[in-house]
Amino acid sequence: MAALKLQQLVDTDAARFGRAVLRTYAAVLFSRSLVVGLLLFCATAVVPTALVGGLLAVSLALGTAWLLDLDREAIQDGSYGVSALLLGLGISQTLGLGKGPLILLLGLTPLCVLLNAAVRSWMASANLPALSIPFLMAYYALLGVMPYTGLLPQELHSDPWSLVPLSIARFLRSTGALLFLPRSDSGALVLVAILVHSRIAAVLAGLAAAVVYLLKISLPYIDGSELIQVLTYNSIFTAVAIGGVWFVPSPSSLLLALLGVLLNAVITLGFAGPLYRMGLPILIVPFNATVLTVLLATRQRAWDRRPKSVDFAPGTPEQNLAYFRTRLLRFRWLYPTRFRLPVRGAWICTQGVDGPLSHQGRWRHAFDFEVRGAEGLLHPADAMTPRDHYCFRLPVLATAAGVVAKVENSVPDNETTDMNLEQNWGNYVILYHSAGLYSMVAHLQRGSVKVVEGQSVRQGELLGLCGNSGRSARPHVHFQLQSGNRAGDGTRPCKFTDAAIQGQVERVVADLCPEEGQVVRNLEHDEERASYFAFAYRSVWLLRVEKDVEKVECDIDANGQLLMRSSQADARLFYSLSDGFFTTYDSAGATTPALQIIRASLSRVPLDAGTSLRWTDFLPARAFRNWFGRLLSDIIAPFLNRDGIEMEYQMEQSKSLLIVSGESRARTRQGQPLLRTRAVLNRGEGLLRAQITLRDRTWSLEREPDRSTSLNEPLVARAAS
Amino acid sequence: MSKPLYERPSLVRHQMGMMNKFGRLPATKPLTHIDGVAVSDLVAKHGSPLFVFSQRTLVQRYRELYQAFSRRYAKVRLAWSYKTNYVEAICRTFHNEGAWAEVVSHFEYEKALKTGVPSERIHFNGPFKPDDAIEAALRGRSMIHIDNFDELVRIERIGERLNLRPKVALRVNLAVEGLQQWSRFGLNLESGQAREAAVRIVSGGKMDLVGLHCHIGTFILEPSAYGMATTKIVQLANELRSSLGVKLSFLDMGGGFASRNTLAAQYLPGDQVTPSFERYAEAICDALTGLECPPQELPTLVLESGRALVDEAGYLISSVAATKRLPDGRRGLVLDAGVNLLFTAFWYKHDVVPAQDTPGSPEPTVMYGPLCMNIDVLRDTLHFPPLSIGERVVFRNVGAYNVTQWMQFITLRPAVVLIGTDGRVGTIRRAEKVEDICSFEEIPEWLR
Repeated sequence: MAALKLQQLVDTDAARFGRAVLRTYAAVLFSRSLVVGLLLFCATAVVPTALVGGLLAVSLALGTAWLLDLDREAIQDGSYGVSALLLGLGISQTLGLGKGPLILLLGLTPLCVLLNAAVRSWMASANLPALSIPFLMAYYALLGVMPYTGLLPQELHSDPWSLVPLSIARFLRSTGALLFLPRSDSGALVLVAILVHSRIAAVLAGLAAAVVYLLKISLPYIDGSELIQVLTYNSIFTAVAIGGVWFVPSPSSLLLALLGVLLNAVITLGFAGPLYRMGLPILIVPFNATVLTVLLATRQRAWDRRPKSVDFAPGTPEQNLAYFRTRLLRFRWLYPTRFRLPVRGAWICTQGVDGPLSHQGRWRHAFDFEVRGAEGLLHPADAMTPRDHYCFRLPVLATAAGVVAKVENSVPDNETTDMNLEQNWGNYVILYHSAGLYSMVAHLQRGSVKVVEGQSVRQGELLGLCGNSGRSARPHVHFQLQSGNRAGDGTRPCKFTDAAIQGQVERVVADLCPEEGQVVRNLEHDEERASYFAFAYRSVWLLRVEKDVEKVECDIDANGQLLMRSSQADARLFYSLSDGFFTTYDSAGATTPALQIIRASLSRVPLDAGTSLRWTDFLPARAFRNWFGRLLSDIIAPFLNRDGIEMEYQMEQSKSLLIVSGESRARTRQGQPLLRTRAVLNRGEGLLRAQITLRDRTWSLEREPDRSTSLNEPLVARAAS
Repeated sequence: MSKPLYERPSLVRHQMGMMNKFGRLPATKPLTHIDGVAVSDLVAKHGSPLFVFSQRTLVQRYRELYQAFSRRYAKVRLAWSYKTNYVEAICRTFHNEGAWAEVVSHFEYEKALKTGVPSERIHFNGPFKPDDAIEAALRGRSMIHIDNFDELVRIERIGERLNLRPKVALRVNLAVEGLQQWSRFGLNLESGQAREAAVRIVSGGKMDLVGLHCHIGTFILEPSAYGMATTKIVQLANELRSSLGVKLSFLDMGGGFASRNTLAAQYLPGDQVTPSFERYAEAICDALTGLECPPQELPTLVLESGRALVDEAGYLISSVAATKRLPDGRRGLVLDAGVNLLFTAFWYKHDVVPAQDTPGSPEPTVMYGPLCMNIDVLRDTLHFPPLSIGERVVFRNVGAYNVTQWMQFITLRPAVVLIGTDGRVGTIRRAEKVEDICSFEEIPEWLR
């Protein structure tokens, strides 16, 4: 109960407001961490006017955003407040906090929120971040308005701190200058905040600083410490943004970041003078220009691979990297188009890639499928003709959505084992999927083709029936991906997405390349299995982990994404219920014990009715390391190949309960699985219990019964408002 | 004296039981082992008569049926028909393979729950569902198949009282060319009754119409009949979707697939004419392509075939108690199993073979049971080797309906054993004792 009280305390409006303020400070560094926010807050707190100005601006901005009923999530993130914060710091540091500047601040801050929202909407349509463009617009407007007010800019605070050597002090000042506080103490705090936020970011910042230093010594005519300051903080931010925030950290993102730093230097040096002559300080313009340039430029790439852009909700560079790593491991697709097996039910692959009969040379990436009966034969024991084969006249389906490129439907079926070598492929359907990617099913029954050329088909749509036409000794389905639209064009490698291999147990494979002798089938979405994961929209679960009770709400966000939201730390765990799977993704923002247990124990669950399914999935390893391991891995991770915990899962039905359990492939020295998980779900009620065991330590999650509905009401009511 | 006329000698093959020159002789090859277990061992251990089930056959038939359909339609579910055989071990075998349960009474509903079937996986069907049965099914969130308008209203009311939203299906009867219409179950399609009921359910707004159910009959030897029925059901489903916006979660095409038995009035033997599961599957699944809905909303095809899954897995071992010569020259065998155990003997010409090699030429034989009743005939006149007292016969394909419709009449009911897939033998229902029967009885005070 004490935990619940604490929970309610954490849930108060004041606490939420406090968190939003700190997040706004953190957002300056693209972070959501409260600690980072606190450090930056402290960095401004060294000068009282900055403290008051910043805090006033943030509060005003949050209030305005709230009154305007803007996106709740983004308000909590500090996205709307960040430009107002910079503006508030700018006004208080350049004009002081007299009556005039205060009126300016009160007037401009709400406008800044409007600008912010507008720029966000506009940029989002091009899928670009708003960065600090709203702040720049507001600040330049302020400079234009200033002459009419009679206010005069004052000198920025000088650095009172002279304990450190001058060169270091200069560097610290330049990081502090970002917050209009060119002081070593603020700068030092900003640096600490970067280090807390992300080690990868810290490395990138260090590299950027080094480049600026090299520039400085190689360009002897750069003068004025102010220009160097501007160059330094722009470079640092550019490097962090490109190297870790908008691209997944990797050696290639590092290179791109260095390129960005150079571009940034050119923009700074090239435009600072002209802008200054127009009476405008260049401020953080180069960073914005560089990041947008790089983002737009990389859109011209055909393959978004090196470096990989962050096409998911960006987090810290570490989170981005861990998420992308596991995603690569979890969902392995060769092409953007995903292919399913061309048949329904269990079929045996009778010839695979490089099959000895005919899958050779240019046609090596092909598959033959047939049906084997219980007695192990391809036809009943008393079969007389090829028509008696089990697979004859079974439906053949479109492996993926596409357009029918070519159809042959008139080749007679071979009535004996004689093959028709003239019309090698028999009756076939070729589908167009994307440029240079076609699929073909061949040897169909004469007259069975149900589609016409030019028709668009959906995945799983009936194309025709299995037959024995063409070069076919017995009825079978031949499937291949090819590069052209003619029968017999060269084949391309093919993997089938999410199919099951049958054996003693059924093994789900994310990227199946069937081998000869394997009995395979498509997973089929089962309504009943799925009903276990149909968590009621806005249902609230009270989850007890150890002594704490966490309130988790199942929700849908503005983009239609399903997510679980923990009230404890504004943590969100996104999940999906599509493609025949329940899948949880890495939690966005902070993470909480309950969400972490759910993430690990319900990583991915096939919604198929199979009774003996086994499947593997990867969990990001970072979450399961101790602080030291995390620190170490953060620095070397971008250069590693893979970093994930391979888990093996299975499920069993016990009366009305569904139990999903998993264990890691990796073992401890005693031979025990490193990580074990277990989740128990009840139909219609969702998760009942879950637990994860890491080495000897177990974390259990127990669903508390909803003792009183009034407990849920505040959250639900808030959500409704 | 007159010389007798010369009569040309002729050899006439005297053979009974052959249909015509294309047919073949009834098989009398002895069956000494069932799934590798000797019949004599089974009898020595468990007594005679004895019902024996082969788990291997159960699993094999289930998989054959499931795969025949799942290769042709994406979503297939088999619901085990409890009335066909509700011995728990048999049911468990099917449920382990993924079968749901189809029950037709409150008793069967409770039996299924006791077997461990989650209540959400039960289809509750049948013309008689008293209030307490409906209440139990609603509380368990089972699917209820509505048989008539009275029931529709009762389910709605009970749902309202319990504050539950019933999930219901409509049992529909329809005319299929060449079949006698089973109009006594469900609501008629041609007269518009079924549509009327659907409209009533939707406009009532208190129940969810989740399925349509049609069961055209039993022991249907013509797969195309299913094709016709499915076409009509698909039309109805399309109509309900377009006019009422009803998204069905399943279409239940019932059961009625024939087993390899031979009906009493059937000319050709069952194992020659019974269609394969493939042919039923092709007929039904071809018709399902007429469904007009996006692939992710395709209803699940439910099948509740009972007989075709279990009949071939069941055997009845019986011993010869006496032999006699009937006045018409036929041979009579008195067996220790009668129509009290083999109820289906009224429907089928059961496939019966000796359990041991028997020398001697076959002769016309009648098989009688042990009951002191004239109706107790298991097989009327078949060509059978001359068995002696104590020797055994095996009736094949007796898995369906017998161990549910058998009766304790004149004698007690024997044990039922299961031969596991690994060859182990386990009793799944012990032989009845006198005490069992007496335990139901009570003596009123005045007779004590």
